[in-house]
Parts: sequence; structure tokens; C-alpha cells
Amino acid sequence: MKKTNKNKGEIFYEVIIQIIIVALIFALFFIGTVDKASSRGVKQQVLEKELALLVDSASPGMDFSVKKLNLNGQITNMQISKGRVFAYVDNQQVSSGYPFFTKNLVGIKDNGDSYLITVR
Amino acid sequence: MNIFSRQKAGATGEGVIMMYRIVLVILIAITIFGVSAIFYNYSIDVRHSEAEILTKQVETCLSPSGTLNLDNIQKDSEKKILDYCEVKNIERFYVNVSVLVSGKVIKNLEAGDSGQTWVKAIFDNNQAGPSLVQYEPGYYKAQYNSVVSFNGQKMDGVILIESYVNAEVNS
Repeated sequence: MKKTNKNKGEIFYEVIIQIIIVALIFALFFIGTVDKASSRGVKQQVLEKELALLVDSASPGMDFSVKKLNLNGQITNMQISKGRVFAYVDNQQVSSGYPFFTKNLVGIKDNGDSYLITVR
Repeated sequence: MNIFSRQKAGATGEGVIMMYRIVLVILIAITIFGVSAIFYNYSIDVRHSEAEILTKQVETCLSPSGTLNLDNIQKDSEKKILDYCEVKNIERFYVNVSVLVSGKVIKNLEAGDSGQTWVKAIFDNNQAGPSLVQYEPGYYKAQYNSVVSFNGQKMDGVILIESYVNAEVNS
């Protein structure tokens, strides 16, 4: 039987270090996975695409009011720029937006508890 | 080999084994993350609706009060009909407009990449597998009756519009 030169303290210390490293790695990847599993991305997609379709099918002079608290979650921010609709649900920080193709002028205004989208 | 060099060799060996274990853990974590990313990935397809809206917009542009005046459309606009109609973000679209009088095509207008018609044909002939559904373009076809003004003459005609909408690369 091979004799180990380590004492129990050293072995315990190494095991603890390994457990901490493994826990950190898994924690990082769970943080990345939680966002997908919470379905915020799906709610964001639904919102952006619904609004893009509404804007595309609207006639000049139409206005749309979108409540900040709705079925798709709490809308924390909404923007319209460069021909795209951006919606941020439940404190999301990232959005690639969805494009619309109407030739009409589209604007957005924050009305406190809702957003007003105007088509001119 | 004295006792100190043996201890040093042992410590190096422990370090190598620890690195191997960490790499193994990272690989397992990447696998878990990758599978969950694929499993939870979901794309909502609105391209058929977009194709329908686009078709209606083109019709409204060309024939605003039921009359299509082909003499107003310049030669260089015939292949860029979406630019003529001031439609934005047209990279994903292909539109084909056929103007018919007495069943004969008197003018063809289009815009975009006509290759999308071939892609659509592949799916219509059931030649694509289920995993390729995301690449099938959105499609809508409609025909509208209109008075067609061409070379100074007014005739009863039909405008046939086909719209194809491709997916965004990242959506």
C-alpha cells in the first residue's frame, strides 16, 4: 500500500477548493439558463412582433396604447428606432427588436402607466 | 530522487489531475447549458401575417382608388416596386406583381430576391424535412380587380400580388 505524505487537513483543503470551483462553474451556467427558462424572452418576442404587425397594418392617424402591466409581463421599457420595435420585459437589458416596414411615421410616448404608439 | 523532489512531483501531479477535473466539469456544464438553450429556444413565426399585410400595402400603393396607372411607373421602378411604394426594411421580402387584362399579363413588377420562390417550392413539394420549417418563407397571394390605365387606354384588369417574407437571420 502506497503511503501518502499528505495529512488530513491538506486533503480536506483540496476537496473544499474543488467543490467551490465546481459550484462557481455551475452557478455561472445556471444564471445563463434561468433567463431562458423564465420565458421572458418569449414574452418579449410576442410583444415586439405583435406591435410590429400592428404598426405595419395601421393607417395614418391611428394610435395604440400599450399598458405597462399586461399579460406579457411588466414592460419596463419600450423604444422605436431605426425601423425596429424594442420591448424590455421584467427588467430585461437586451433586445434585438423586430423590424416593421410601414412607410408611415411611427412615434412612441411614455404616458406613465402606458405607452402611446402613434402612426402618422 | 530525494524526498523534496518526490513531494514536488506529487504536487505537480495533483495540479494536473485538478485541471483535468475542472475541464471535465466545464464540459459537463457546457453540455447542460447547450441542451437547455436548444430545448427552451422558441421562435414565434409571424411571417405569413407579414406577407398578408405587405400584399395589402402594395395593392393600396399601386391602386389607391381602384385604378392602376402603369404609365406612372418608371422603367427602373419595375424591378424595385417596394422602393416605389416606400416600404422600409425590404431585405427579407420578395414581391411579384402581375397585371392582367383579359387573362393576359401586360406588365410584371417585382422587388427582392426571387430565389425565395424556389425555397417555397421545395417546401410545397414536401422535399424539406421538419427541422427546416424555420426556413420556409412566409407567403401570401391575392388578386384584386382594378381599372388599368396603360398607354393612355383604360381597361378592366386584375392585379395579382404574391409576397414572400424570409426570416431575419437572428430571429
